[in-house]
Amino acid sequence: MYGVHGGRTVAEERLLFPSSLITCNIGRALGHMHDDRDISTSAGSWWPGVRGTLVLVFLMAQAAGIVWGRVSGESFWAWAPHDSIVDYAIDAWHGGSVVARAAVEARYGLPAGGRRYEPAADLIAVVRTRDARLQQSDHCVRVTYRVNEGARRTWSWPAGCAP
Amino acid sequence: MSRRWRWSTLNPLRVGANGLPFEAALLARLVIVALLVKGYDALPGPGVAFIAAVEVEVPAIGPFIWPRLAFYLGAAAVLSNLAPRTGALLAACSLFLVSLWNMGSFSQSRLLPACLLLLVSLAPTSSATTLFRWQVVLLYAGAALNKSLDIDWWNGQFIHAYSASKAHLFFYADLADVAGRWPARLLSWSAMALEAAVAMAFARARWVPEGIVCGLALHTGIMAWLGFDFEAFFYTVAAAYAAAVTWPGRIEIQPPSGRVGVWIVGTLARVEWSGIWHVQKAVPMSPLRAAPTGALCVSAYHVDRVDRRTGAAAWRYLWLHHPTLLVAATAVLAYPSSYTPLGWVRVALLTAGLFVVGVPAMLDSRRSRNADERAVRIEAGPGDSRVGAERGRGHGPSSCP
Repeated sequence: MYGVHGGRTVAEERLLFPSSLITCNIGRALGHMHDDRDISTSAGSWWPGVRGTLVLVFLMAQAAGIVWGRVSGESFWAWAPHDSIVDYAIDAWHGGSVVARAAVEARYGLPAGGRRYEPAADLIAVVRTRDARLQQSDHCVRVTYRVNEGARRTWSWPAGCAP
Repeated sequence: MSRRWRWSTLNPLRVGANGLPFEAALLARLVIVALLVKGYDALPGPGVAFIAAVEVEVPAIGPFIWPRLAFYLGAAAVLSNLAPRTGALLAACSLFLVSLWNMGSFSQSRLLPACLLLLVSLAPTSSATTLFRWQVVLLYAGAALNKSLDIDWWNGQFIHAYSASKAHLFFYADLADVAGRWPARLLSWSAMALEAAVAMAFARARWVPEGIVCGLALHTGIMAWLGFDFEAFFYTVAAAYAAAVTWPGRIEIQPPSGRVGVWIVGTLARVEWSGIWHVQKAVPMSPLRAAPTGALCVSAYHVDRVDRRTGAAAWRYLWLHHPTLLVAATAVLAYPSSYTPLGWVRVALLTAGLFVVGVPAMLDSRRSRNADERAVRIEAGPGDSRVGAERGRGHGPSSCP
């Protein structure tokens, strides 16, 4: 494995020319795996190939997530750090009565107010997803937030329900 | 399965057992330790899940919810070398699962370790290092892209808002009065440029040292300004750096002669029971190899020719040729950095040091990167040295004096 080819070791050749991975030449990439000695490879010759393919799919899915994050505005799948300061408060009403802070936190799995460093779209997505699933016609929620200490904005579900 | 194999496999000092490459085993260890130390083993419970079907009540096993138990099992399997790939897979799946079943707790501090552990578990042995590099590329490319499309990162609004709200940046208000938004803009632009530089550098193996220098300058700079170490994220990134560089083939450490040396070697031999570090109690001495006690000798890259440095020069040589040490030093020196005066001083010194040491490292590493053999030997006294051949790189006897 550590033989020298053209002044470089085989290991360095592989590091310098990872074209087998970039161009999806899976056959060549998987051919490098004969020296795998872990227990899992003994399960069958097909398993290393599946493993390599899964890794490639996983990395490409992340790349797709980055692109999708720019389209959707949410950063769940474009999870690389993209800091923004979001100061927010969640208020909810059920049948016209104000929902207690603890109940809001239990419902959405979030603090009812405070500061987050993920995009505001993520916060709204959490609230919207919960309420869309529960589909309670007499429930109303309002998220008030500021991004990077800019202008105050509100979002409510259903739209315009908040007093 | 011999008894010796079993004992040596269980040795927590062993890195790279069970067919897992050294870099992958090291990465898994560092990530697991970072998660445990920074409290990320306390996985959040279910909340609003991405998929409605996942939103179920999770039975608790004693004080643990079962993903947390799975994480502990995986961590134990990684740290004990019993099943590092399976353990990494178990830990990764538990981290992914809690992210999927609680949108509110979605965090890069949990997702980056999960991605890296998944790669450790699945990556082919021979291309593991390359895959770790590409994970780093995706991370920084995504971060740079996201920031570059946000107007608040171009006009400095984010940095300005953050800086103005933090008590430890007591000087910022005066600075903003004098210079307006320009300091915030410059910091924002620097962050975006460094993130893009890291992504581009890690895309090519030969530029990894430069990428590490940029990355560490970025993260320590952010820590110095924000006064926050980003919890597990920073340490996971540092672990990814450590896995992306070429480590020395072996390190020889020769303690000084005399009673102290015998005691040190004896203690090490007892602690390191499986012998993978080749600690020897009795070392034959040769008059020709006598050197002043305490001298440090380092040979690197071309071990066949006489290439030795001592004292401060040896340490400088290590720093220049092995940016891995930058990673280790950063992780050790920067912690804890949050909001304490001592942490501030430490991070400021470290940042300055990284620039001072890192820039010549970039220039020097380019000259020597074509070397086909890398080995580091450290001797702290006279006598022959024993060679650790754990990684299978054959070398002749030490060229230290």
